[in-house]
Amino acid sequence: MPRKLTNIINFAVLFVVSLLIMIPLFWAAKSVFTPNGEIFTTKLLSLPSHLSLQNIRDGLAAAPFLMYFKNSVIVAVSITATVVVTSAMTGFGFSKFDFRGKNLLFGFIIAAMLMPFQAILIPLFIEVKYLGWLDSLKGLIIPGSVSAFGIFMMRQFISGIPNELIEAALIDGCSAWKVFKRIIVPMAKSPLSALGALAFLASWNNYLWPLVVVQSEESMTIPLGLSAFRGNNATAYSQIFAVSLIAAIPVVILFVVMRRQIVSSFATSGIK
Amino acid sequence: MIEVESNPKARKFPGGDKRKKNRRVNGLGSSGLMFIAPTMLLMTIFFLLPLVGVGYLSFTQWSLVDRPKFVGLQNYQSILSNTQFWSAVTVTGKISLYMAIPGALFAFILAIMINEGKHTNFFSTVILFPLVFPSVVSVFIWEAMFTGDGVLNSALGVHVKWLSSTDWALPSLALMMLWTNLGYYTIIALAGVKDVPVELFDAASIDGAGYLKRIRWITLPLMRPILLFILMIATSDALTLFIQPYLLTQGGPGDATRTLSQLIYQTAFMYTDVGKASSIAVVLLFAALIVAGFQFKFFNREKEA
Repeated sequence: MPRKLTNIINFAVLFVVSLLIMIPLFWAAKSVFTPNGEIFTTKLLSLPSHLSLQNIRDGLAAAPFLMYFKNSVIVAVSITATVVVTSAMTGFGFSKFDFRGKNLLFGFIIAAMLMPFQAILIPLFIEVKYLGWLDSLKGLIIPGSVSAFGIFMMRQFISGIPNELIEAALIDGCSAWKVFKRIIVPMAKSPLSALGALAFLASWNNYLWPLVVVQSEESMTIPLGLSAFRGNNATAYSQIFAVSLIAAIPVVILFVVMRRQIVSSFATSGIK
Repeated sequence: MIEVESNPKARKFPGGDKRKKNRRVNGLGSSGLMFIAPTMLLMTIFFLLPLVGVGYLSFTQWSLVDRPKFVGLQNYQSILSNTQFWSAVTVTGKISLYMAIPGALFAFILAIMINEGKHTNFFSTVILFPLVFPSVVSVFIWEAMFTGDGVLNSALGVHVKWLSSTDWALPSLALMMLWTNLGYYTIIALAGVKDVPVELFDAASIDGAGYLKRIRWITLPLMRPILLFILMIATSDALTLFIQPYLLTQGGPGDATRTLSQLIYQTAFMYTDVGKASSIAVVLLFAALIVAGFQFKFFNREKEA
C-alpha cells in the first residue's frame, strides 16, 4: 500500500476512535442545554428542539455549589502547595546528601508508594477522628500533604542535576538551603509543575477520603456535593450534567494547559 | 522494552548513573536530615502508624466503642469462609481481566497507529482525557447512558439491562473503566512500541510472510510484555476500584459488582466491623504487594534482555 494512503487511513481510524471516546462527554455537554424531558428522546447526535440555559440556573440554585467549590479550591490548592514543597525538599535530601539510614528511609517511601490507600483507610480514619479533624477541611488537607510518588519523582529528577553545579555554588559561599532555593528549585521547575498539576487533579477528583471524613454539608468538596445532589434528584439529568460539567471546568483547563507534562509524566513513571 | 524508570539515564548507562547518584556532594554538609525531617514526620503519622494499625486491628474485634478486643485469627477465619469475601475476590479478578485483555489489545493497536502517524501529541492527549476527568462526573454520564431507556440502548437498537441484570452489570462497569483507562494503557504501550523496529515487518513481508504469519510471529511476541504489564496495572487498578461501582451499581445487583475495596468500606463504615474490615484490608495489601513485586521482577528481566 502506498505510504500516503496508509497515513490517511491511520489518521481516519484514530480520529474516529478519539470521537468515540469523546462522545459521552459531548452528549453530556449537549444535554446541559437540553430540556430534561427531551434528553433521552433526542437522538445521540442531534440537537434538541430548543437550547436553554435553564438547567444551569436551576442546578446551581438547587444546592450550595459555590460553597463546595470554595472547599474544593482550598483543599486542592493547599495539598498542591504542600506536596510540591515537601517533594522538592525530600527529593533533594535523598539525592544529594548522605546520612545514616538513608536507604532504609527511601525504602519506606517506595513501600508507601506501592501501598493502596484502601489498605490504610480504616486506621487513618480512626487517627483523624482522635485528632478531632473529622468533618473539617484540616482532615482533608493534612493527611494528603505529602506524596510518596512526588518524593520518588523529584528524587529521580534531582539526581540528574550535576553535582559540580552545586559544588560551585558552595564554593561561592551558598548554604545548603540557598542551593536548594537558587539551583534545585529553578532547575526542577518543569517536573515540579507536572507534579503540582497531578496533585491538584488527584485532590480535585478525590472521593473516598472526603466520603469518610466529611459529615456535614459545610465541609463537602465538589465530588461529594455532586453525589449528594444526584442522590436527591436522581432523574434531573440535565441539571446534574450542568453542575457536574461546571465542576469539571478547572480540570479541563489544567489538562489543556499542562497536557504535555501530564502525558509525559504518565508515560515515564508507569505509575498513576 | 517498556520504560518505567523515571530517569532515562538509568537505562542508557546501566550502573553508571547509580554510582553518580550515590556520590555525595562535597561540602554540602549534613543538613540532609533537615530537608527530609518534616516529610518523614508526616509519613510516620499518616502512613507508618496506620500501616501498623491495620495489622493490629485485623486481630481484634471492635465497633469503634470501648477498646478493641483481641481475638487472634478469628477475623481471618471468618472472611475465608465468607461467600461475600470470595465473591469480591472473584469480581476484582474478573474486572482486571475485563479491563486488561481488550485494554491491551486496543492499546497496542492504537499505540502502533499513533506512533506511525504525525499527530502523536494530539491523539495521546485526547485518549488520556477520560483519566483526568472527575470520576464522579464520568459515573453520572455513563449511568445516564446505561439506563433502560438511555442513549446506549437506543443508539445500538437493543434493550439490554446494562446495570440491573446480574450478567451485564460487571461487563458494563468494565466497559466504563476501559473507557477511563484506555488512554493510560495506550501511553504505556506507546513507550514500548517506540522501541520496536518497523523494519521487522517490512523484512518479514519481503520474505513472503503472510498477514497471519506476521501477526503470529512478530506482533504477538511483541505484544506479550505489554499485555503482561497492562494486566498488572489493571489488577492494581481493580484492587483499588471503589468510586465507580459504589456510585454506579452500589455493588449490585446482589454482589455482582462488589469489589474488595468496596467490601472494606462497607464492612468498616456501614457495619462498623472494624476488625473484619481490617483483615480484608490486610489481604488487599498483600495482593497489591504481590502485584508490585511481579512488576519489579518483570521489569528488571526486560531491562536485562
